[in-house]
Amino acid sequence: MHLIAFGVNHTSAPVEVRERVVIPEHTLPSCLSSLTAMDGVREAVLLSTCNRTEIYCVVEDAAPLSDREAFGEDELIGFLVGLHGIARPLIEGHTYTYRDGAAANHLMNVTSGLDSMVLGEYQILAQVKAAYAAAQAAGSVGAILNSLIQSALAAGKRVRTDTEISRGAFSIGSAAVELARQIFGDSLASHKVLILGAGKMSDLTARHLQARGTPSVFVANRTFERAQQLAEQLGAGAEARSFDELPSLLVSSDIVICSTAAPHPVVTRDLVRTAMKGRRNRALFLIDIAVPRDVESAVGDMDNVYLFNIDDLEQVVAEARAGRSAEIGKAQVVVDHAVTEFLTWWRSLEVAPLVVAVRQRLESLRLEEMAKLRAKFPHLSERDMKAVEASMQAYANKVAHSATVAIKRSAGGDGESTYERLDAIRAAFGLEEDAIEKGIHQ
Amino acid sequence: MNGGLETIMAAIGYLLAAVFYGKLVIEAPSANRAAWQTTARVCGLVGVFLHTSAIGISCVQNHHTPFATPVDLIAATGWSLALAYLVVEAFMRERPPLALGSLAFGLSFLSVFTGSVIHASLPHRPEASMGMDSAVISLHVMAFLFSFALLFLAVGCALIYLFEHRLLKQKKVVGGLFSRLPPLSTLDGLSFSLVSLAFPLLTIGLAAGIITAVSRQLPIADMHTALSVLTWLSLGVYLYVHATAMERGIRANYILIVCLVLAVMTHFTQNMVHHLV
Repeated sequence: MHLIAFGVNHTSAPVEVRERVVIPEHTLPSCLSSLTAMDGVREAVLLSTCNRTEIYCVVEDAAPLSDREAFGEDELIGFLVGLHGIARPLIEGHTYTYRDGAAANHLMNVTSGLDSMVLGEYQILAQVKAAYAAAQAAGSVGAILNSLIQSALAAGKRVRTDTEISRGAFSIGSAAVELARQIFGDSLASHKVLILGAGKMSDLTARHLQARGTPSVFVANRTFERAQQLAEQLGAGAEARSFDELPSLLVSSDIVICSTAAPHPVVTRDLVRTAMKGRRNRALFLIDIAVPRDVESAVGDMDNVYLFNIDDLEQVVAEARAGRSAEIGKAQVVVDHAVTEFLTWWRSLEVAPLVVAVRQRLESLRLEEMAKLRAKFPHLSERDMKAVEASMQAYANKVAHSATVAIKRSAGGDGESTYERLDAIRAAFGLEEDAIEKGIHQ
Repeated sequence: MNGGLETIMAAIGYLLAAVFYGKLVIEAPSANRAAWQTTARVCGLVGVFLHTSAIGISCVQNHHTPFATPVDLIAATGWSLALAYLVVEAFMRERPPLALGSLAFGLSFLSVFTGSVIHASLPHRPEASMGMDSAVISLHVMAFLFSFALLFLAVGCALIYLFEHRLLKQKKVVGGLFSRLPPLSTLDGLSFSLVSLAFPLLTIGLAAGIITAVSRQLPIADMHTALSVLTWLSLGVYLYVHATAMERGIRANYILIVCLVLAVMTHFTQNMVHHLV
């Protein structure tokens, strides 16, 4: 059996290629069926996001275990070409293929966010989980991919808890959320958000805040209809308000996102000073992502008022990115450990038939010798024979135990030496590959 | 100071707790973060347990209260501070204020260490003040001790608040330290809760002291009493401006720092009454 990871991602292919090979969620069951119907494919999982389309599969291989040249890229390119009806040259040269340990390592890197466009991002974990669920529903995962994906998801979570790779802001929206949490606490449920100006950026930022639990969002815009549209898009809890209500909205809201197209500041120091009295000095967080700015810079000097403009937020995002890069090494250690654990488990599966064959070989030798003994010493009493048989049984068990330990230890190693050691054990017990296969069937 | 070995071990426990809590604040999260947090808490608990034993041994052997001498009082201040923090942490298990833990145990260690150094430098053990075995005086001292410990913790929160506020204003918000500090609202709420507990305790302490002095016809109009009353008043002002929302955030925290300065001055200002009792 071989494990293969094949696909295209944001580093190997431009968006023009990636968008042609995206596999829509609703077509996953049929795609997985087609994939598992391919000759030699035992298990398969399809992962398709905006940044990657990947196939993870377990394939049978008639070639010897140590031979790395087998089923792979050609067949899988053919699968994608057939699936999307695209020209083969379009994706040729933009794909990658990993086998066995490298394939496991690749998936662990993916779930850990090490292979993501935004280092350490969380979304990929959910995407891998969804791909796994779809494959389970389609019945295309078996023992190997089950174990691999579960290990990869666990490694992804561990990377995010044990390192700072996912700390800090990924975007202006997430920077705003991080800052709001540090000002108002982990739960933003009791805090209200005011959106001034119905631009795309304020929409995105508000959605980040909604995702973190802010239930109430006020939208105020010069054009009331536009405010209503955005409020509708934001869903339950969002409410359109007239721009004239700004003074009272500043009193009732804790987080204000400004992105109007006004040529001059609309949130002035005097306005905020008056609002702070009404707010009874509760903290006010102003996010000004408008250019030209919507909030007078002097507002930032006021007590209990925290003002971040677009440059401040971009700086936060850039510094956070740089900080996360320093965590790659630590994350890699977690990934390496998870890959080693998975490979050890996988190899233990591969050698299970060998363990069975060794035990069967010893048992047949024991029975053979017992038969010879009975023929040679017919005068021995049944009691003596039982004693001899018990002694031989104990001897065979001890040898089998030592052999099992040796096989499992060999399986835990890496590289070609593993196969050499296993071959040596096979030779020591006079076992041939076909005999082992026969042992499995028995 | 009897129970010397226990005191030394308690001081080591406090120091380790301070270091481990500090490590959790400064260092990036790692796989064994939870283990370090437990270790810090256990060190603090062991420190408090050993310190309680040391104080108990000292009381039994010397036949007086734990606050009979200034040296004992300094050490007991550290004990009350450590104990108060552990109680706070027990209430905030979800996201304990680790930075506050580092400050609290650091101060506990310093007070035990200072008490021990002063004790060692004295040629004879200081005489216990007369009348310290009175229940009302014990109440007076205990109430003061715990109200000051709570005030210390509240000021710890205030200092962390001011530091974090400064980082926010300067836009230096990237990096682990900022994100590992408690949110501003948590710190503000915690300070207020701690002072809300400290204030009635201080009121009880003051009342017990004045009742004792008046009943024994001792003079009370001096600097110590004046500072005590001033501390009490300033805490009252803090509670008032915070509760009525006249002031919140940095200005309220500055008031807390003034309260602590007054409390420390009260602590170290001897007066006629305390000489005579």
